[in-house]
Amino acid sequence: MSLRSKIYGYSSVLFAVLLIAVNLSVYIVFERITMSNEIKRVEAEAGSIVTGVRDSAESIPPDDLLRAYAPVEGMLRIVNEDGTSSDPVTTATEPQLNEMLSKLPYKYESQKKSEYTRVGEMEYVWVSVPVIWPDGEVVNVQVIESVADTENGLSVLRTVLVVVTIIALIPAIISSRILANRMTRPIQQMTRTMSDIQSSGQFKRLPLAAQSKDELSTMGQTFNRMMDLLESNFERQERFVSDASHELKTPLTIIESYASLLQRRGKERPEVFDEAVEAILSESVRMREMTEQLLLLAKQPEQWNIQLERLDITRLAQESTRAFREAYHREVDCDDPGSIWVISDESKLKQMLFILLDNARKYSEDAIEVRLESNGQECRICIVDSGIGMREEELTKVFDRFYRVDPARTRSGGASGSGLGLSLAKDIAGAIGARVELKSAEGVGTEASIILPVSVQTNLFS
Amino acid sequence: MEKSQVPPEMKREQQKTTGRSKRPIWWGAGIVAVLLVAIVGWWQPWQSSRVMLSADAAAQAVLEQYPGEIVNSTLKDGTYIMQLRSETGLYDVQLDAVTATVNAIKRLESNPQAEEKTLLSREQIKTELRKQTDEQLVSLELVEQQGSPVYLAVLKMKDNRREQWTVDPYNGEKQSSQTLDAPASEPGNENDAPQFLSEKEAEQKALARVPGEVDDTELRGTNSGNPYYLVEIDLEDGREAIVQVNAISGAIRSVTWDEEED
Repeated sequence: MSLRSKIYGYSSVLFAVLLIAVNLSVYIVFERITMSNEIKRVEAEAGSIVTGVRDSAESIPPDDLLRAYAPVEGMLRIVNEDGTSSDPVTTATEPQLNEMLSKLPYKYESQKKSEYTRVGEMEYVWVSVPVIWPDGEVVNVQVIESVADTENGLSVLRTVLVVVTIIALIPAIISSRILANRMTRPIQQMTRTMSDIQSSGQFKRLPLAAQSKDELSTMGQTFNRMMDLLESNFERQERFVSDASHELKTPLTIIESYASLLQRRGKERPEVFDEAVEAILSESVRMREMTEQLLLLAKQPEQWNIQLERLDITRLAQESTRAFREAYHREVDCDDPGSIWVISDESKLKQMLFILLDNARKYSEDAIEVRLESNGQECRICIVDSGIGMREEELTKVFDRFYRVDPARTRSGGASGSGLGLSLAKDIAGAIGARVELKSAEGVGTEASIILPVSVQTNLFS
Repeated sequence: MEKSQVPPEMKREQQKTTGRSKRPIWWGAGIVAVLLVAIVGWWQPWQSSRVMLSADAAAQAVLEQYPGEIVNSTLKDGTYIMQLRSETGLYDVQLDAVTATVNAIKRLESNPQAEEKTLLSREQIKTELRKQTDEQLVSLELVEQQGSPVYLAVLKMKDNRREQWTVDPYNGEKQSSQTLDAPASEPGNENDAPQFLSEKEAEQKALARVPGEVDDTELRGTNSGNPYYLVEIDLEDGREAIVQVNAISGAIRSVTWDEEED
């Protein structure tokens, strides 16, 4: 059973049951009240007959008495203790009923009793009241009175209630149908989109009605966001596969060719040996770095495991430049403006710093300068070199993956960079809420800056 | 793409748990509803509050209906059981303590003096009179004479003379008789009430309601303002019915049926 017909069915049945229950209880309560009132009325009538009989029993002959007190549309009789009865007086309008009433069986009742009876087609209330007759005997005054009027009223009420129930059910059923449609349409749409995605393999989005804040449109929005995430993930993986297969091919070919060269001539010609080993070593280092960076890039920013803490930028920059100096034997100056505190992730910041320093090292020969600035709201780490610099059009491309400045112009002249460094630095900056800016002039040098906000909102990615 | 595909077992399990957790709620709701209905039905808020009468009020309620004296009164299960001593004997009366209605009466002892004082009905007097004479009975009325009730019967003798008998209402015996010298009373009667239906018309009306053979017709209540004919009809099944016909409108007021004597 579909959700739509479930909602439709359940709400319709619920409405129907509620309506019927309400109307039924109204009817039953009303019926009980009227019927007990009828019985009370007839009992009261019997009571008045008793009073009347007692008051005038000495002055009016008994048969006249009964005639005078007989109820309208009914019967009156006195039943003695021995089971005999006076002549019954009937007042029904219909001849047959009159005779039927007169032929009703009777017996002496020791207790006061009232009940419903049906004579022919008519409803009657029968009441038997014990009375001390003026002669001292205890007798029953038995009254039967028609409740046809009440019955008619009740049957009108019955009809009205049934009609009202049916009339009220129609809009209830229609509205539950509309409700079911409204609720299930977005779901059906979503299912359709999902099966489209499944069959076509494309990342589709749900068309959403604008300016709606209900649960279903929230679900649609969440679905679309999930599709965004899946798509970007998918793209990253795809890019990783294609990048890896493409970029690792070159170093592997180089390694392979040098290895085969070594195999053939390595033993006879030591100069070939040296060259080949150096090339293989540098290529494999490059490959390792590249795979590490590729893996990092393939990660979602969400999976980067950022740990924010309070950092002294000055200390961090000085430590990093010292390490860099030791590793590459290059002159790197770092100024000391005193402690600058920011909230950031230490290892990520260091990684960025190393990427930029590495670039500066590769594309310049003179001393590298690290400058630290702070203006209250954000602080800036500038890595300035006086190397080859870049042209304007190159500046826009350096953040692209695998883009490398013309190899002929680099200091080492070889395939020293993977082309992923700046791209990775940009990703990391995005993840910790920082920015990377490049300023460069060809032949003059390059200034790369990491710009950090002093206070970072903790919810960077939400 | 792969993430969206949840293994089928997991899905099934989720569905099962939600289904299981909802069922008790429905059962609970149903039970609560049934309980509510039961409570309302038992409490019956539409009925007026039930307050029990005090013993004095209960005794008063009984004495209003039956003059006498309450000898003993006990309250048991919402019912007052009282012993009433009246002129005619000692009675056990059960009175509902809430509604003040008499539920049952039982005679414990009877008072012999009061025993005979039973008025005979007009029918019984008529049959008594028929035993004593075969003259035609014109009218029979219960009247008060010297503080006690007597039946006055007017008989039409064969010689067109009218005689009025005074009959004891308790045993139907003739006490005295006197001759009426007014044969003119009959036409005078008719002049007084020219608007009344004739006997024939009344009989027709009565026969239309109760088919049979007319035995006797009698005009009564002419001086009470509510005159009516009593038409005696012999029925096919051997019974006798007395039809009360309004003497002005001809409407059938009531039918008194003779109890079969078997």
